[in-house]
Amino acid sequence: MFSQIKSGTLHGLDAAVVTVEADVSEGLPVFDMVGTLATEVRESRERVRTVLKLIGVPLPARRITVNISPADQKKSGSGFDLPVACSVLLAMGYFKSDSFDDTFVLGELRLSGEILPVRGVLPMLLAAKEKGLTKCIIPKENLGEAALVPGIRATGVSSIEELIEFIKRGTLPKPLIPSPEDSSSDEYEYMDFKDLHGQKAPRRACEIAAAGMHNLLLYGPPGAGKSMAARCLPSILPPLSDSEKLELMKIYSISGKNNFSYQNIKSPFRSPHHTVTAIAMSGGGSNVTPGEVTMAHNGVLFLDELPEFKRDVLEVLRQPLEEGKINVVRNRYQEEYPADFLFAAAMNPCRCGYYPSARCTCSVSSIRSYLSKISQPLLDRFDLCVEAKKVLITDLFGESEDEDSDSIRKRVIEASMIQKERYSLCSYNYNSQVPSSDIEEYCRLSASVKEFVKEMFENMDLTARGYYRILKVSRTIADLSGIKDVGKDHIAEACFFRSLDRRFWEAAL
Amino acid sequence: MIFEEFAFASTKLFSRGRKRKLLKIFSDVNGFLNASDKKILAFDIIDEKELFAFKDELKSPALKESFRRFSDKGFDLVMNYQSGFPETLKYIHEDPVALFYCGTLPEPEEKVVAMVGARRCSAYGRVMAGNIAECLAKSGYSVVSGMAYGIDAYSHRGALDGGGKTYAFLGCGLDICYPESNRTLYRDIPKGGAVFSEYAPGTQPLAAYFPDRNRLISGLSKAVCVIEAREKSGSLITADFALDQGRDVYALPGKVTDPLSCGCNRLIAQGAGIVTSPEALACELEFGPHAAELSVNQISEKTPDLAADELKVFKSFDFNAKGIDEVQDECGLTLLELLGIVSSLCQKGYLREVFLNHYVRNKI
Repeated sequence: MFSQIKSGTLHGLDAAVVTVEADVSEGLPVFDMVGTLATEVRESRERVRTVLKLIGVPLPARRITVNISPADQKKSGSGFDLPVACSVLLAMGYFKSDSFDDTFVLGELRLSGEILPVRGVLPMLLAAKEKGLTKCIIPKENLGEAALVPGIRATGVSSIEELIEFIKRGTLPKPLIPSPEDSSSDEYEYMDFKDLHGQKAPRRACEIAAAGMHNLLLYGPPGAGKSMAARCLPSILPPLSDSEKLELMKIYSISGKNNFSYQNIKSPFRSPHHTVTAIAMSGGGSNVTPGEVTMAHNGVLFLDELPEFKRDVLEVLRQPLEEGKINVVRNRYQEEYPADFLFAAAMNPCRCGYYPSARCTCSVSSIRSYLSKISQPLLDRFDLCVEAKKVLITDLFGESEDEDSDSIRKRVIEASMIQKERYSLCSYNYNSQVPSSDIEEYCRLSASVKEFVKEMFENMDLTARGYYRILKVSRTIADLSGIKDVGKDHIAEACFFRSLDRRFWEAAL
Repeated sequence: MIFEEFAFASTKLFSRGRKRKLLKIFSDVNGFLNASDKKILAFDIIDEKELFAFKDELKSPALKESFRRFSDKGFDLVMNYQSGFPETLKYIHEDPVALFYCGTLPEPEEKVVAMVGARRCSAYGRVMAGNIAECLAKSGYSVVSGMAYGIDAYSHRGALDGGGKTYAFLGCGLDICYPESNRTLYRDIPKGGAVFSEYAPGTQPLAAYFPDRNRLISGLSKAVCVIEAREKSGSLITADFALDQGRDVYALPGKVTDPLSCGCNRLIAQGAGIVTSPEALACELEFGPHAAELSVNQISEKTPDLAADELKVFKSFDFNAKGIDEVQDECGLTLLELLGIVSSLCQKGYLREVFLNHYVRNKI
């Protein structure tokens, strides 16, 4: 007899529905699995055989063939144990033949018969829904993700016995609602700008960065509050849209983080240590997993002590910063992950941290070698650059009033609404994403402002790229103050925050 | 320059001292090579092995090739017995046997002043080095230095800007430009003056060579002016050489708290001349001590020719890097006004941006 059960495999952020077919027929007693299977899928044969024996349904001494179709697609992931077990049982006639019609099955088995959670349930259920499936049987721990896919009736099971009981009698030991403490357990709090004392310039730079999604470089002496400012940054980002939230849920789902509920999801803040490898940054590995750039999608990727990162790790960032996604190509797979984030970085200007003040004790060559680790193309990706100065005691005593994140965020949200409306017909949403060819259209300058820009361009010896960056940033500054046309003040402020250039280290010494 | 001289000057087989002795006995390189082996060995300066090794070197195609490349680049060599060899260098301790050079040798009566100082100098040192060198050049002095980063480079540049001659002594082979960032100087100096090296072409810049060449910098000059020096500094080695060689030493005073002026202030305490202004230095060099007292206050009396706002902004900056936002509070200008003024001051050469939004004065 021959049976079919639907299951799925991951491709990047998306999934494909595959069919697990089983046949039990006369012949030598063999259990065979075919269909371009990864090791973890092939091994499911042993797990299924043992589990079925332990629950008292030994495999018959006949020829059992399992095929996962389509055959030319590589299948990986640990979720195939349950569909294989079910299709074998179905082929043996253990269940009624229509038990798994329109049903998507996924889950990993332990030898005890327990069912373990798997990665990527959300994208797989979305794919299943697209294929017209209406029911699913998944590990109990993954039920939270299933709640995000309306139109599919999800059943969570924690052991194979439960599954058999459910199929045979249609009942489960207890009603299945994801327990509330599960979903809120991993909720995280951002730092608030009210705890950052003084630092007028970095505050303002963070506000502009958040409003236009501009990449931000903070530099300054040690202990000035560079990292602190960056950590406050996600607290003022505009709220995520539904589609952005779903995208994030998918990313968490495929990386095995299933304890986030949809309501709690916030802009991520990722801050990998500088010993991170290029693979961890980009994504990859023998079982492909998303890297830091993807985990920071729709949020902030913060690299503290930028020059300490290995050069190859930093160069990984170029494609995501340019295209908002990353293509991970390896021998066994090729995946495309989204990676659209606000890139923030902090660094000291030299090894001792005090250049260009008289306190700096570094030699000419040590300053050069410290900064030569960062390539000019990477520096070019920063639209904004700001110095965090040494904190003054008056700032610490709280004599200056420090605005909190909520009031800054209000302005950011307004500025982002203006941008969304302006770019409603375009493929981009933020000022930072506007291509150079379109910038002059959205950034109309009056004759007097043009004259000022020309003067600044010549006096500051800007490059063409630098010029466009200043235009984009001044557009955001104008949006923050709700003004339609970019004026001289906006240009001047953008010039103040203009990005760092290798020339400074090469010419100054 | 003949090939044999080139080979003799380049060879590492005999030390400078033994080369000097050989030339004293045989009067020139040809005299040495034409003498019989027996006669040479009789003086017991070099042994048989070394002599034959040198004769083998003379025949080696590699050396011939190196000679060809050397002369193709327009480089030259002057031996201490030839005319044109700087007279002043003959009477110093450890006088050089030969000098590789590119450019024009100094005139016999040329007035040469050495200017030395820290590599990692302050904006103060940078501006003063440029001004002093320019002023000296205009007063008819040539400037000799070491073509290193910092003070050396600004001194050479200042002398060139003042339309004067300048000489550089390298701590490596003449064909190597070290540091690479001074390539424009390396190209410009020989147009009026010369780049010198005592070392054979191809010699890498090793730390040991630099103090050694300092004796030539002071040796060529009639006075040495130290611009900025830390407590332990190569510039102080040059000052010591200058004292041994009987040259005058001048030092530019600085703040007592400034580590970069520590060396200079100590020199002053030990009796070095004080540089009160570039003009005063030029005057004193020309007419002796105290002659310059009248011109001492020249620096403070000059005010730059700037508009009122520009002057206010310019005066808020000093020789230590200052952020533009610090100055904003002092001047009471908006960011828009301030940025406009600062960028135009940079354009006019009054200020210099040393780091993003950090400026120092580029003029006194």
